[in-house]
This record gives sequence, C-alpha cells and structure tokens, in this order.
Amino acid sequence: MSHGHHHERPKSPSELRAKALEALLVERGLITTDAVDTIVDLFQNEVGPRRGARMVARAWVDPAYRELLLSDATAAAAEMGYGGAEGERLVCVENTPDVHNAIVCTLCSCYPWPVLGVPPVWYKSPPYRSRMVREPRDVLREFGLELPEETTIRIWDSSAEVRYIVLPMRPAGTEELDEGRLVELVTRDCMIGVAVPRVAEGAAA
Amino acid sequence: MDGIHDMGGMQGFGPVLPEPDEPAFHEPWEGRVHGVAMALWATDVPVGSLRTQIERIETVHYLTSSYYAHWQEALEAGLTQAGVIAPGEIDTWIERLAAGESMPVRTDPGRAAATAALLEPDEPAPPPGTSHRFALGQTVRVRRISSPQHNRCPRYIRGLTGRVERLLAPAPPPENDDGEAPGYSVAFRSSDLWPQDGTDHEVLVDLWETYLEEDT
Repeated sequence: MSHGHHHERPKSPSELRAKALEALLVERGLITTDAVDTIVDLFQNEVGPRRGARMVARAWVDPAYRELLLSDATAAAAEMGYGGAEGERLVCVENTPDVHNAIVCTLCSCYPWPVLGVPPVWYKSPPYRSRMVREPRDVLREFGLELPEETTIRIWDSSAEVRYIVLPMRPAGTEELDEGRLVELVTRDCMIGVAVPRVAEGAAA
Repeated sequence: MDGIHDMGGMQGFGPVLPEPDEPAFHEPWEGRVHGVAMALWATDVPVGSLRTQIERIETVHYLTSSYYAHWQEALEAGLTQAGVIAPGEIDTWIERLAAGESMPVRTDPGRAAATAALLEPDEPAPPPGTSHRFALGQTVRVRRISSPQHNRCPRYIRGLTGRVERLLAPAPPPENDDGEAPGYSVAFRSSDLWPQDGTDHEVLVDLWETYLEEDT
C-alpha cells in the first residue's frame, strides 16, 4: 500500500499533484482505490517481460506456435492469456543469421505492455529515442552487442497502432534445454532487440 | 505539432544509460499515476489523449521532467479541459493532504475487475482489409506534414521515399476522430534519411495512408 506511507525526503511537485489528483478523483467517485491498486500490482508482479520470454521459448520448441507468433502475434499472445492495452495489435519480428531487429518509439514511448510490461526508463529517454533510428550500431555496441558488418539491421519505429516484439534466435548449445530453462535465457532486452540470448558458461551441459 | 517529443534522428542527447534490475515503478506515486490513468480508461470519464497533452508540455520542462510527471500533467490538463475537474481543485487537495488529511479510499471489486480487464486479451486483431491505396513493395513518398495538431508522422521521414513493407488494418488517425484510414509499415534506407552518415540500415515506420502519396 502506498497511502499513508511517510517519506523522509520532501515530495516533488509531481508526486504531490499525483496524490492530490487521485484523492480528488476517488473523492468524486470517478475512480476507485482498488482499481488503481490492481494496475500497480499487475505491473509489479504479473505483466512483465517473463510473459514475452515464455512466448519466445515456446516458439523455439513448438514450430506451430512459432508460425502463429510470426503470422499473428496478437493471437499467439492471447493463446497464453496475454493481451489488452498497448497489445491490441502485436507484430513479432524474427531475427535470423542475416537480419537483426530492434524496436523504438521516437515520438513517445510505445511499448507492448501485455507481453513486456512497462518500459524501462532508458527506452523512454531522449538518447534512445533519438539515436536508435539513426545510429543503431553505435547504440547496440553500447549495450554490448557487436553485430557482424554484413548483418542487416532493421529498426521498427512504433509510430501508430502496432506494438512490436523481437523473436531472438535460439542460441547454439541449448538443444538439451527444456522450455522452462529456455525461458531463463530470454531477457527483456532480447525482445527489444538491444541484446541477444546468451548461454552462461557450462549452462547447456 | 513539430515539438520536442519528435526526437528521431536528433543529435546531442548523449549515451543511453541502462539501469540494472530496474523496477516497474521507481517510486510508488509513479505506479499510482499509471493506475489512475487506466482506472479512468475503464470508465466513460473524458480524459482526452495523453499524447496530445504531453506534446504541449513546454520544451525545456519536457526535457527536464520524468515520464510519469508527463503523464500526471497530461491527465490533469485533459481532465481540466474536459471540465471534469476545475482549476484549483488539485491545489486544494494538496493543502488538505499537507494538513494531515488521509487519502480518501473507495473500493468496488467490480470496477477494479473492469480496470484489470484492460490488460486481458480482447477481440482478435483486425485483418488488414482491402481498402489500401498503395501495394506491398510500392515506393511511396511521405507528405510534408507540418500541422500544429497532434499527428504521428515523424519529422525525420517527411518528404522522403520508402517501400511499403506491410499493410496495416485501418484505424482512426489521431488527428481525425471521425474516420479510419488504412496504415502501412514503410521501410526507409538510412542512406536516404541521413546521406552523410555513411550508415546502411533500415528504419520501418508505421504511417497512416493520409501521410503518404505516390512517388512520381
């Protein structure tokens, strides 16, 4: 619960106005406290990148699901029980040995909430939004991802209704891993496209 | 509008700074703002477009305030313009809370469930349909949009040509609530967007048909 909690530090104007806005809307009966609680709880505990990771791992082991994910990602998400706001029109873009994809929103911070949760601060920041379309190799290098010169880089600027998710390549040496352990390899950054799945030393043995 | 929000291709913002093990919300009030917005979306209270309001935030302030500060200001502005709240009512509540009054609490499991349902699968995504003027693979030119209205046509592609990569289902363009327009994912070469950079990648931008014309 966040109400009634006393902070040591002074509150920022945004924090003061946000609390006052909630108080006003609840007092009026326009919203309810538990509706707000529910959304906070969902994003903190349930709606996050683990969901996208489950979809990716399943696509790696289940060719029919992979087919569905690449042809209709909204349906593929719904099959797992995921969907809703900022995920009504999902498109999954596939990394291959020749093509690497990444997502950005240069105009605001559009992001596929139902499968990745709320976006990290860097994704919403001016450096990422300005640079990712213009100098993606440099940005990826800063994330520790050095791509071969011959790899085609495709950057998806989600400027309208579609929200994107990247299907990364299954790393070599994971043939023995089951779906549950594959999920562990798929980080949020892999599905944004600023990282690729890595197998820790000895993990695949 | 041609505002600071339209950042694609700008230079000088410095490095991207990832944060290890970043939480969903850095402070409780940020989560509350996200929750308040979605709780409103689950009602018929007129909130207006968050993006439109965020684009109107004054430039220097936009760059020096956080994402959820933008949301908070946009909600407040939208609700005020719609006449849902009156100027001064927020300030009154700031004073009441500062004087020690508790946050009012109201619960209704049905309304909480209706809000949570915003994050559940809805109807299937619509198919692209057959109303598209441009064809897959066709070269199209982006109109030189320069409207003071909210629009979703980034500056960095205006006037340039790209190739239709994917047809998108019709949806209402944000500057026009009365009708739908088909959309396209259009692929641009970085060498066309920034010829002096010496880069060779592709940027795919989703654009309403109203932003495009034939390349003649």
